[in-house]
Amino acid sequence: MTAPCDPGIIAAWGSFGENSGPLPEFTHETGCTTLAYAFHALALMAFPGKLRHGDTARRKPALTGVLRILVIEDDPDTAAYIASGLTAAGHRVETATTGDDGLRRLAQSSYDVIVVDRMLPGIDGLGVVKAMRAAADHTAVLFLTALGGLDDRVAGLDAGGDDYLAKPFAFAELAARVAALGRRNQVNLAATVLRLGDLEINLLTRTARRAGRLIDLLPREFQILEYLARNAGQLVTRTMLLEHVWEFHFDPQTTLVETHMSRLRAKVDKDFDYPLIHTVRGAGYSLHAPD
Amino acid sequence: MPRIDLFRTASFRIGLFYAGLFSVSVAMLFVVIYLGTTGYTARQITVRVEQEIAALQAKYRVNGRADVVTEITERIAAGSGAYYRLTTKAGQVLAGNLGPTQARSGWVDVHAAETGDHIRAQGVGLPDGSFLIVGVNATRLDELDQRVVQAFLWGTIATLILAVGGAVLMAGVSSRRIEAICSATEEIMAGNLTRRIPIDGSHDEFDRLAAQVNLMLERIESLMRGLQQVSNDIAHDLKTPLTRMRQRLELARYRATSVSAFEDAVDQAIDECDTTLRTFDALLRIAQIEAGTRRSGFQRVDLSALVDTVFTAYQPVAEESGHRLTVALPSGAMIRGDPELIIQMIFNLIENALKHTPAGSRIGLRLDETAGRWCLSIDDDGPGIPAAHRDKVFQRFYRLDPSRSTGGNGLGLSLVAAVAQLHGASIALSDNAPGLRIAITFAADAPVAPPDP
Repeated sequence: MTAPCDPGIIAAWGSFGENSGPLPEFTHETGCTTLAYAFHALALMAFPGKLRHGDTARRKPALTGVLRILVIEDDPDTAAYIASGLTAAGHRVETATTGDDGLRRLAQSSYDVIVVDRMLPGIDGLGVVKAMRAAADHTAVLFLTALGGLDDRVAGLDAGGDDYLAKPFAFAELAARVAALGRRNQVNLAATVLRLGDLEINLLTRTARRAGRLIDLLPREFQILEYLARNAGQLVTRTMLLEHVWEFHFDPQTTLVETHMSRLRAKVDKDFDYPLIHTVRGAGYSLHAPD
Repeated sequence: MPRIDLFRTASFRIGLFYAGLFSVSVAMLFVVIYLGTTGYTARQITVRVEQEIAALQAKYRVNGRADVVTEITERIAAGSGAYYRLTTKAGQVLAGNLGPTQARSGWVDVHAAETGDHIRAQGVGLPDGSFLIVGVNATRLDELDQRVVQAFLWGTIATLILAVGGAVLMAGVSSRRIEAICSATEEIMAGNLTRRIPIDGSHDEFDRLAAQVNLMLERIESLMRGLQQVSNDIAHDLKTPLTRMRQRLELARYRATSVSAFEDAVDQAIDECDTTLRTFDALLRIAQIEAGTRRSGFQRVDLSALVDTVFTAYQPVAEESGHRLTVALPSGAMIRGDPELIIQMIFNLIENALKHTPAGSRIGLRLDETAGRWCLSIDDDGPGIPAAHRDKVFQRFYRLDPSRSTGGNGLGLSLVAAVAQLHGASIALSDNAPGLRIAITFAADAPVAPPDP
């Protein structure tokens, strides 16, 4: 089932950046029931920086563009969880419950990102993506895989998937990955210099300057900064960093990311006017210039 | 004890087979003995008779029949032991001590009327038409013949009785041993895992078999106990966060007065959920690794590069926690394996060392080659693991600290063991005096390539 709330709620959520008031007001105003509260909680997870009274209250709206998303998931609860959360994040979401249904929708209209479960009745997730790729449909695909599925990632990527996420996942993780996939189409991959505020990252010389001063970075630190800059303004989660920077496809349960980030931060932010690297509590990091 | 069907026991069948075999060999023995004794004597008789005839024929050729008569008379008088009879063509007896017989050339058996002796004789016609017959008493030969045959018969009977009796006895003994094994296994199947197969100390093959089966039972029992322990630990490890979660949610349900208090309770509940899910995830991952399906995706892996990657990633973490992480690596240690799992294994080894050594400890990663095998080792100068616990630390959920208050889910080293096993690598824990050393030696069949130029 999809979100029963009226578009007004979504509009209200879309303007959360400016809404610093306490949440109950919001809930009471709209008069939505428990489901609305659930959406609310999802929105909290998707944009913890904005909604919590945390260390990074000041943030630009996380999503610069509205994405058209197709969710192919047979479990109605999970489908509703994903669809309502992504809708709350401002995207336009459609759901399909079988592989055949998904393929039918893909033939009818186009999407920016497909979220597809691996296990589906009829044509499974792998089949759907293989069929898409065979039909030269290069829409970004995020696979959802079962808990502990060691081989699922490789099989999913082999079939033509672009990213994968093991169930159960934190909603912020899904939202961040969907956003990164949606953004992929808009990023100029040929760019040789990335700029953000007074930060300048030269991808050819592998050097970074801030306010004209060269920042002395280790190769790994440069990779982190580059990945954050490519996803500037977006939430980048711990696991996204682990996968893209270190290529570790498991959760090491250590302070590895935190340690490297705090070192990078000391070099990039410490001696300058304003911070560029922001912590999104309980979710990850975001690189963005002040408003 | 159930009745044993004698004919169905292997030992009885073997016994019968040997009884048959023995009978055949007794028969062969009889043939040899018979030919050696009776046959020899019979041949001697033949020779003797033929010699006598030849001698008498020689006499006849020199001086005629009269000399033969004289010679026969002399020989009888001298007690030669042979029997003679010389008759004219008309059948008149000229000389001899043998009773009347047919005048027929060739061998003939004559029975002496008065003594009942058996005389083996040969008749031969002389050129003038008279007929000579010479014989030797063969009664002793007949007796010998009879004795040998009797001995053979008795021997065969004794052999058969012994063989069948032995087979029955053997079948009984082995069946009793088998019965003992069966009753022990039945008891084990009924649930008494501590039961063992009895060993009677005879050091026979049954004892060897029983000892072997007992070793297997020992292993099964320890695995079962481990399994029980694991299920208990899973229940415990998963119950604890769920209990905490429930308490917090209930408390929030009745006590929380502000939205932020509710939020905190929900956040904590989500954290507890995540912890539980991570434990499940780790368990499933270990089970998947142990299933061995990942082996099909093995590739050539630069072990040096993997260790170096993890080392560089971890060094700042170790520094933050006040540990000194060092590495000693040759380059280009190539093995066949799964890079993702090997990385996770190295991760878990370092994480384990960081977790169980105090700040200020040194942790060393090494890669050495011995006899074409690569050995990855990690050592520290922390408190180490007592020898008695060393082989248990790879069990799921095993923790030295019984209160389970130290962090981690107790699955880190289980995963290390599973990955090592998948790669056919052996793990050894040893005392680093002070501290712990864990050495993982990869199988020799992983080809060791020379370092890249």
